[in-house]
Amino acid sequence: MSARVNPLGRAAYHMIGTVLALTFIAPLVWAFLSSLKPAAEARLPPLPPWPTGSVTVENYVALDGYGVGFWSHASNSVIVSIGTVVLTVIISVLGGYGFSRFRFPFKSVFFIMIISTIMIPFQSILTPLFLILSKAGLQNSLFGLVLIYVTLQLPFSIFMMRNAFDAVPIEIEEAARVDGASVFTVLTRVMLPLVAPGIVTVAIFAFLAAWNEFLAALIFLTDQEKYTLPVLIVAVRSGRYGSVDWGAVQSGVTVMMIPCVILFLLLQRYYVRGLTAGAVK
Amino acid sequence: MTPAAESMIELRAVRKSFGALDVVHGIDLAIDKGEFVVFVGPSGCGKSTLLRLIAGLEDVSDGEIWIDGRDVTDDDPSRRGIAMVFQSYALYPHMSVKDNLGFGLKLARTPGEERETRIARAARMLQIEPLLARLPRALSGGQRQRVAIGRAITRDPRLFLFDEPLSNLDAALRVATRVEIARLKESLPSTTMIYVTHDQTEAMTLADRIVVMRAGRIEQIGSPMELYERPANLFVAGFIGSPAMNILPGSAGETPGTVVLADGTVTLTRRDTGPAGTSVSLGVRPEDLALANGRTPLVRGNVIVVERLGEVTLAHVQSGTDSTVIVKLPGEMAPKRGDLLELAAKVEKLHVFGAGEQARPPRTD
Ligand SMILES: Nc1ncnc2c1ncn2[C@@H]1O[C@H](COP(=O)(O)OP(=O)(O)OP(=O)(O)O)[C@@H](O)[C@H]1O
Ligand SMILES: [Mg+2]
Repeated sequence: MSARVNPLGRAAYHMIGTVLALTFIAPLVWAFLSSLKPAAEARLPPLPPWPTGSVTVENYVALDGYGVGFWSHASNSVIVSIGTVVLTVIISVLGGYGFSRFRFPFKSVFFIMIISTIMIPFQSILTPLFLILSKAGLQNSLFGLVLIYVTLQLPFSIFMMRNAFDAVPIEIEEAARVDGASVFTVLTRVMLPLVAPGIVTVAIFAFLAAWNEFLAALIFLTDQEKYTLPVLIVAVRSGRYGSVDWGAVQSGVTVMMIPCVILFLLLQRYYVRGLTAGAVK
Repeated sequence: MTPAAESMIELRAVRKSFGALDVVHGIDLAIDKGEFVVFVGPSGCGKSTLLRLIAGLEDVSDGEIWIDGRDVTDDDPSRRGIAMVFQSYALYPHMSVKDNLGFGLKLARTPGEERETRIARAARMLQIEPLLARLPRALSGGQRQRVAIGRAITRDPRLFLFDEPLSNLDAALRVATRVEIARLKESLPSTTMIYVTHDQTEAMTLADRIVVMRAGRIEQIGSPMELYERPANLFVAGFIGSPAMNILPGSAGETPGTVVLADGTVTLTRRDTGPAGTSVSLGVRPEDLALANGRTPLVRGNVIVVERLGEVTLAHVQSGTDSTVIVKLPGEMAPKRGDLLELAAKVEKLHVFGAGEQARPPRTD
């Protein structure tokens, strides 16, 4: 910014920024504060948002009483999310590299086909997916769910990775080949570090999508012990004996946010670079 | 088949096409061990493609490539024992200068101690020791170029390939780096080097042998002075030397060895000019022309442009044959626009090219 910025404009800039930031963070803070209210208070109309009487963790304890215990559902979620991230990254790196660097017949047709699946609403193919998975014996398995998530993540991820590889000049790769690197070494030792921002972006998107996904998990998982966290939380909301345990719901929401926030804070530097990679020379 | 004993590289009928586009049309070339060979030619003539074929970065469409007595036509670049310096440097952006220099050695599983020694030696040679810890993005263009050359040196390759390594540098740095490369060549006498450029100064100053290419074919191969003194055809004549050789259209005269220029001047050339009446071109370099001072002039005309470069003066003379003739005069001479100049050249400095553009040999009688 130049030194002669209109002070009024500057104030407006900061004010609008602050308002926007508050708007985005308010629901998160609200959920967190409500989770600290005693169960009885949590059921009342939610104003003021903070606990008026004592602060308590009883909601978190109560949360563990649902399903087969909080930790086993959390580990289901972790398994599904990590599995989705790993598979998505491996496939999209290889696919993106192929689409960026190799010449093969019908390359652009394949690419357009993959990208165009983004336009198909996922809900509309739930039934065929269900049929396919049960034929394959993967229905009601976490691995089957991972496959679904990976399939849904791939179009965006391959697109992202192709752009990331496109942004690396071909000469760098050729220099490595001449230096004595095999195709595989070029990919792992030279290209991967250079497309790391793209990989981080793909990984974050895959993680968030798998971590938060509800509908497919609800439909494909039938055993309660396999539920992932989003399904558990809805089970909590429908509650026992017909009453909704709002306190437990809020504590579940809060717990679920934690990995997302940590991940984003840790990796945001790469993530922002990944989204703009290739946009400017 | 086995190659000739000393040939470091041998290209046999090498062809390359990209789809329907033929880029390299059957090139045969043998390069000796320790030779510094420069490929020159106009943009798009296939110099880089030929270099990349040797490196293995492109597959040949036909023909064979032998390196050091081995057929490497189908070998991966990593297995050819070569090092290459790219026009765009192509340093690994995520590695420090030191790691850039050592990457090839690491891949070759060179022991750590040996690696350190070689990196240190290359760094000393190119004076990049203070830069070893930096990332490439923190280097200037000239420094990057040195690192790129250093990366090639550390591996101690049999064969060194350069693709226009100086074209991204500014004029002063280009001259300095050119000298640097000449020194490098002296210090690595057994390393064979191939250097691609379209700058004829680089070609003349660095090469042991120059390969002049046009449209995917070799026009002439020879030492710099051979190409300068005996260009095989009009193309090479125009390409080597600056300003380019003057070309005067004419035809073979009645007396064998004479050329009749368009303005009627008859010139003795002592070359085989063929049957009388055949159209030929007479070539003479600007630096070989001088004021006639009583000799029979070759060219007579008015000065239309004067360029004073300091040590020399270039005068453009409108000759009687529609073509402008450039003459290189000593710097202190300054003819004015409109002056009438009579220019002559020594007969052995004249070149005669036939209608097929080929140079005519000296008369044998
Ligand atoms: N990968 C490719 N696909 C199709 N055509 C190509 C490819 N690479 C080069 N060509 C064509 O081959 C011809 C020769 O290219 P090359 O790069 O060898 O020229 P060059 O002599 O190095 O020119 P310059 O001095 O401009 O670098 C050009 O017409 C170019 O368009
Ligand atoms: Mg080139």
